[in-house]
Amino acid sequence: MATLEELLTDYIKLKLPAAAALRVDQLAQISGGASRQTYRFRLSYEDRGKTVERRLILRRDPTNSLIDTDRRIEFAAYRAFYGTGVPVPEMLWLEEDPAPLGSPFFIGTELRGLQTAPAQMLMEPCASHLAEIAEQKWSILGRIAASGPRELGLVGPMEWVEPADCWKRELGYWEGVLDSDELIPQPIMRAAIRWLRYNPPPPAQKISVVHGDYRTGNFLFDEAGKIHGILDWEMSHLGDPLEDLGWSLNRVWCWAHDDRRGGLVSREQAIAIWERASGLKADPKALRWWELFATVKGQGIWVSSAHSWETGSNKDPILVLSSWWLMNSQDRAALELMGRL
Amino acid sequence: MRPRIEAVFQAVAADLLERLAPALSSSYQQGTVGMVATLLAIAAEEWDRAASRRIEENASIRDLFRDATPAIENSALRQRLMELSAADDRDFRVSALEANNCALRAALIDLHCYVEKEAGPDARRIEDKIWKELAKSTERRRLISAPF
Repeated sequence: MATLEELLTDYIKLKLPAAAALRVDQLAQISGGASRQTYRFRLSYEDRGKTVERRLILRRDPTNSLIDTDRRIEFAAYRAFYGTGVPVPEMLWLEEDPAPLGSPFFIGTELRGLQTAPAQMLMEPCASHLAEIAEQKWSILGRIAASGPRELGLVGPMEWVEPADCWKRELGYWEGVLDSDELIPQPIMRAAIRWLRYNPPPPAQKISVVHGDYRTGNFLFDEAGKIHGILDWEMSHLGDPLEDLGWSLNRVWCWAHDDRRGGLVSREQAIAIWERASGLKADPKALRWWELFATVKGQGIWVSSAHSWETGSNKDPILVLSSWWLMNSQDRAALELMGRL
Repeated sequence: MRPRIEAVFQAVAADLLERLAPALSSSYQQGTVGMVATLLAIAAEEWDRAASRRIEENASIRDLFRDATPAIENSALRQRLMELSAADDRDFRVSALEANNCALRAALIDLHCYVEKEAGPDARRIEDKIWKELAKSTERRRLISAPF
């Protein structure tokens, strides 16, 4: 049976027919989010007498994922933002046919020598640069919000939604996830969902690309605190830009175990950076709605991860960890937002 | 069982994190071992309180139902709350306590929905008690390592 390195070599030979002495090596699985298997590898070949060496990333669908997403949309989002003010790695090939590697996948460039782990960010030398990281983090999110999905070519790959319907579509989807996947009753989340339905937000001030999982842990940074890449676009979609802001402020991302959002700065500072960069206003009532919605969405993800572990063939410990570690924090975050903690 | 289960889990978790994970050459394997260690640490924290927190919570929800029942005009809901509040935890295995807890919390959701739509001081009083019980439920489940 061919190894993954051999299968990758055969696949890339078809993509680069002019390349000679093409070789894939140093293949190693890395932690790269819970929704896809992620590997780094070295690609080398001869091109018109010159040796080319590239460090690449393979993102392959697992049998059971934490998040059920469309890899085409993730690939399209990376491609759309590449070369803009939103730093992302370059994407090379998308393959939806499971034949070459056993399941669909895509390949992009690796941004090397960088970190994503919040724990690393909170230690020196990064810990001295938290304010700068925060400035970049919410400025980049502001730029995502300010960008036009039509200009990016993402209307089509991503389903259009009317400004008045953003909240209904998202809430309906994540309530459905709770309905289908919850293993134990969720009285706090059910109360939050009722509140969200009784108190809808105003229509979105514009339709933006929503990253869908914009948080500390999903960007690559160096030791000086510079952000080099925004990752994990697998839940990206079109919607209300406040959705991403609310998600980024979720209490479960308070990695420093204090009030600093994303382990970085206060909620108010984060909002001010985002408003400055996006040119948009974070209406307090609307943002509160999206923050509470973020707790429902978060719980939907933790609930479905527990469900996947119990009912599926994927026994990755991250499915258990996210559920055990975050479900109660998510409930507490919802209670706090409803003034009931 | 001695040594105590939570002490064993904590020691194994520490060993995995401090001795075994650094010895692995693959960052992916290190990450996986780190996750397993964290799961053991959470299980250690939960082990000792698993039965007691469920017994406490089940009793608290049954008290709430007993208090609420006279104010419930919906006969099906009233009957369900009466039956649940008259029951007791007799099997102290965590799985049995959890099954009772799920039945009680499912009914708590229905009671919460019901009183939210009702007017009057009784409905507000019951609603307030439900919120307090929900806040307490998150205190019972808190983990030392959790972010919030």
